[in-house]
Amino acid sequence: MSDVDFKKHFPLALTVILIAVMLVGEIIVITSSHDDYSSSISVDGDAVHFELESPGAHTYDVLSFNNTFDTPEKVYIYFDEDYQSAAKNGLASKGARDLNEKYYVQQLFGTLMVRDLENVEVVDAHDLERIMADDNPGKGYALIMLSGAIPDTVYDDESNPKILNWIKTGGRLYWVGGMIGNYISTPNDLVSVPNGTTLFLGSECVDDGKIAEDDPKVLRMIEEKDLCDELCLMNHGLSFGVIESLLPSDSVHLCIGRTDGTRCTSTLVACGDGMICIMGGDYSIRQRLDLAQIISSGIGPESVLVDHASGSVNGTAEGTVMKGDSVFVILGRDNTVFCQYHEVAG
Amino acid sequence: MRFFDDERFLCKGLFIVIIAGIIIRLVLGYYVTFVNDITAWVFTITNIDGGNGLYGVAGYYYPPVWGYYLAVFAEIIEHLGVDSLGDFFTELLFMEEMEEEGSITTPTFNLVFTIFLTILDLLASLMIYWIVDYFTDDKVKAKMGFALFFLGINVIAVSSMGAMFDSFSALMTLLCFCMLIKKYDFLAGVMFAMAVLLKLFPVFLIFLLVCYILKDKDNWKPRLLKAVLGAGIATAVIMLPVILNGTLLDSISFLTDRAGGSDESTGFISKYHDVLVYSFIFILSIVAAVVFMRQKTDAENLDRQFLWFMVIAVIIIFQNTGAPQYLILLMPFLIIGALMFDRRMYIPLAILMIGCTIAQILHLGSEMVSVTMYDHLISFDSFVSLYDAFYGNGNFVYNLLMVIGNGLEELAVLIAAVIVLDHFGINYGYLKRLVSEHRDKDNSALTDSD
Repeated sequence: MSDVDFKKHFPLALTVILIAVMLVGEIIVITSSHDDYSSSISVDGDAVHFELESPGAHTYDVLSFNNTFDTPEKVYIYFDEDYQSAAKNGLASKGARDLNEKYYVQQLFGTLMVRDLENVEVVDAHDLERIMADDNPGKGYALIMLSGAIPDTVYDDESNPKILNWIKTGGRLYWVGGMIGNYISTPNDLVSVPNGTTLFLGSECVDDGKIAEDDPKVLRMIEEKDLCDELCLMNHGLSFGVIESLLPSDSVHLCIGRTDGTRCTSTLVACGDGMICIMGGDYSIRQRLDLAQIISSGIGPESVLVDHASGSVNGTAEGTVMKGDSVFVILGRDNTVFCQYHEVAG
Repeated sequence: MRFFDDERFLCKGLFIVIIAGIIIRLVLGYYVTFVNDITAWVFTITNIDGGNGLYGVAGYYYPPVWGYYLAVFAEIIEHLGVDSLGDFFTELLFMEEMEEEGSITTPTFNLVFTIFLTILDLLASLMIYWIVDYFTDDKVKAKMGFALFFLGINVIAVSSMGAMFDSFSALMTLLCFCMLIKKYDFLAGVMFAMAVLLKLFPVFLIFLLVCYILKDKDNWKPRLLKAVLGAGIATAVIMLPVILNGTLLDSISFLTDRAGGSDESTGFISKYHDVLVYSFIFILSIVAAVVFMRQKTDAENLDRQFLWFMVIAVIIIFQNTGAPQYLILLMPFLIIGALMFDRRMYIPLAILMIGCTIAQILHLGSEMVSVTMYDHLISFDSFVSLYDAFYGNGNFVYNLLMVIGNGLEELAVLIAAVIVLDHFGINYGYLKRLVSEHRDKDNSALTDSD
């Protein structure tokens, strides 16, 4: 470009180019989709062969597990503005919306969608009553509760509530916020239940939330626990987490994520044929991501990692892992862009 | 022989400036990056790639324009094979000054992102060159302008260390100005909308931009209509996906977060500090536009005068200095002010560069984290010691650098404002005369009453 051309055309050319690039970016944002990625498996003797597709470069982790739950037929999220909540808002980043219960619920849809869970439904207290009616087993369903309190429609009996029966018949309850069982929620009140946690977990084994989340001494002590790195778990919130040493000696459970030596960020406790997962910490982005990761991977209290393959995919990639009951694919590691669960047949 | 010659654009001197600026940026960008902000870009890219767009889940807190460019950047680097953007490290949870503790970016990502910002810095520098050359026909002066921006220590610090895109805001503002003086009014409107929806500060220039069009007495109606159409259509195109998704409020949360006042502050002034200050700046921006409108200038000098008032208007915007990266928008205008209108502007320019750089390097205690964790360039214990040196003892070093840096930034903007006022005859001599006249009036009133 000569100096004359530069003087005459440069600003106009640059303006047009910047506008064009912006429009391309807008199209990319609008059209990017979970369906851009895919994964598939096939069984080959004692190994499982996997194939991955990605339009751009991402790291992958393929995990083979035994004793996982299948993909839930539906994920319910309890949220009812007509019932009292014991939830406490999380700390929002600068410029971000308040991280309250409603916003958490809204974001869960997108977070679960990335992890191949799109059959998600928000239910209120009366919906729960219908879902947990006597002839409806919980098997095949997952329920997320963020409110720190269980509505009286299903926490109707302090010794044998509907919700507990639902879990024991195969339901998976993912609990966030507060001490599970501590409160019965009604439209006008929160009713305290002494030793409510024992009803669900077998003992009063949940932290009471009195230690500050961001206590520097606590933050420096935190270390990784089981499956933390493999599942790319990032939550470090410990308040209201399970204190593993206080669980009953016959409790079938798995503490994963992080610990300060006493409390765990995520604990999966067997309850009949079902499971209760206690997520520690205040509402946070990382807690939400971990919650979705745990649900979509089907991890349960007796899950065992059989094998782990990792690498990079740009276009297609393939490999093998040792055969287990299920395979869980993660693209992007801690910056997850895609997850998919595969049940291993035979 | 002069360092810059007047014959051609890419002389030896400018070539050295460009190479030096690129090398410094790439080295700093790889080894020293403030992960707090760059991690936000990784979260944004992850959300886009996962199908959640810019605002479907938390992670991106700016208007959409920057997000669209990030999407293109991500597309390019992912096709080039950059597969790992960053990771979470449990052992980094102690870094409390980071908003998302534990998450950092890879040195590779830091480097490619620095390349992206270096391109933006180069383009902004080229625009400064173009403007100075256009008005002065002096290539040496124009190259000085290029070099002052491209080798500006604060510009380098904000781009390569801070990973912030404020030179993009400067570039779009300069382009808006150029489109107007070249009478591409529709594109000027588009560029104005893009600049505002990239980073909101240029919105205060609207009064001056409209007044410039109004000064074209024979032609202002169609020109204004084209500019408004350009801005309107651009805003609609940019914001439509956000409006349809119901995430409009999230897209302007950066502004509403400040306009709503601080929940933690007590007292009216501290709670609504930002609202009060920006209201004041809003009024001053209107005053500047009105003063421009009332200037009697011939057609030949109108564009030059418009440029001078752009310098004034941007100085007005930064009467509330804020973070060091915001002041990058002021840099081109101080440079142009110094080169074309008043050499005294070099003083606030130099002070601003130093102040902003100090305010940027106060994060140095954490900025080697990527090369520590991935390349093991220094031991983890050494990194922790460095971190504690800055943030230990009640954040003594950090606070000291912040006070010095912010103080110099405020001083720079104040000196720039004093220089501007001097151009309108409002100076020490004027104020002294005013006081003296007022005193004389009081004395004569007393004498009359006696």
